[in-house]
Amino acid sequence: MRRTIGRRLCLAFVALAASLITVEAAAIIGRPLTPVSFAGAARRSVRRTAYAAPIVGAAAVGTAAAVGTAAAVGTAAAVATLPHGCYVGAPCGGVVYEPRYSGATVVYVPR
Amino acid sequence: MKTTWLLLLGLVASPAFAVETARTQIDPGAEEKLRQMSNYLAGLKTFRVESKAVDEKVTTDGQKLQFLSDSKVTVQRPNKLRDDRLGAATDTVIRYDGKELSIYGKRTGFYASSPAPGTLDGAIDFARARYGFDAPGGDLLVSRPYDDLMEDVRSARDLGIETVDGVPCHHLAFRGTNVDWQIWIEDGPRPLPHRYVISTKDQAARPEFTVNLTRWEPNVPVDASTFNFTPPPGAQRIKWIPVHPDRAAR
Repeated sequence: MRRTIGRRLCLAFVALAASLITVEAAAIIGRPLTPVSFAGAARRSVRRTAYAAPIVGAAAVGTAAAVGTAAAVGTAAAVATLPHGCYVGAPCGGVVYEPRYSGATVVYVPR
Repeated sequence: MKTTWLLLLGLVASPAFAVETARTQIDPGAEEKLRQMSNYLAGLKTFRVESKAVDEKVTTDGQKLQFLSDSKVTVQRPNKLRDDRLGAATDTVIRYDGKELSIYGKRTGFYASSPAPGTLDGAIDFARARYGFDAPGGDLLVSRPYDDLMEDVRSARDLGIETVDGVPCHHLAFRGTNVDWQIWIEDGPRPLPHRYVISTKDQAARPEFTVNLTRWEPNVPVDASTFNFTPPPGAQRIKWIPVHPDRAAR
């Protein structure tokens, strides 16, 4: 019995934490950069919704839309396409961009 | 006398029964069709399928956006997967060979790779948790889709036969706590999923994820080299950004 209650409390805590994370999660997409709520199309279960949705969002934003997730990249300055006239590894307006995979998408991150 | 007692019992029990059925309405027929699909998929040694996905995101100021992705997915059980992302803008191949997960962009020449868990289910979860991306229709690729899909389901209905991309399918609808979902399963001896829709209920804009699965090739012969990645000459290895540990932890 005690274990059950403990487990329930634990689940409740996880659910609370998950909801906070879902609310907190946000991505920056497109040009000009637009904040996007992450919980988009969630996976089927709470278990996956809570943690996967933010992550899935980053990956699913493909094609021409820029992706820079504060969560994944640690800075909002990552871009999906290099600014005009910039090249990988070369200084560009005082910034050197390096390519990274973010999910299944290439993004460019200031070095 | 006995009848009276039964009637009384019925009167007492019926409100409780009504509440219970309002909460949980599982049509055993719908559940069985899902189980048949799950067993059929689990029994395939290999398969290939093309997926067209629409993933809706909502901006923080309420604009709903759709992101499209097409893939050709090849699976060999128990632990190999290849995902060719189709289209000019994302000419990318993701491979999993039972040991390593890799991604290679043909257009850019950039690749990244990482050690991965030894099972397909583990690798799908790993890709999601560690690097933040999903195998297309990943819920349906795992070894026992039924178990994961039915988790948290309170209602299941069979809405009859509809045609998806020319294939007659059973349209099944399920409800969970945070998401509702629908699946269209081929009628006949090959109970394959042809369409899968997830509706998110805990957001006001109710964004949806939709994937259509076409050109199924069950038990297709697959060359062993399909899943192994050797960087082509000139390819450049780049870093794969891990999902922030706070969010990946589970």
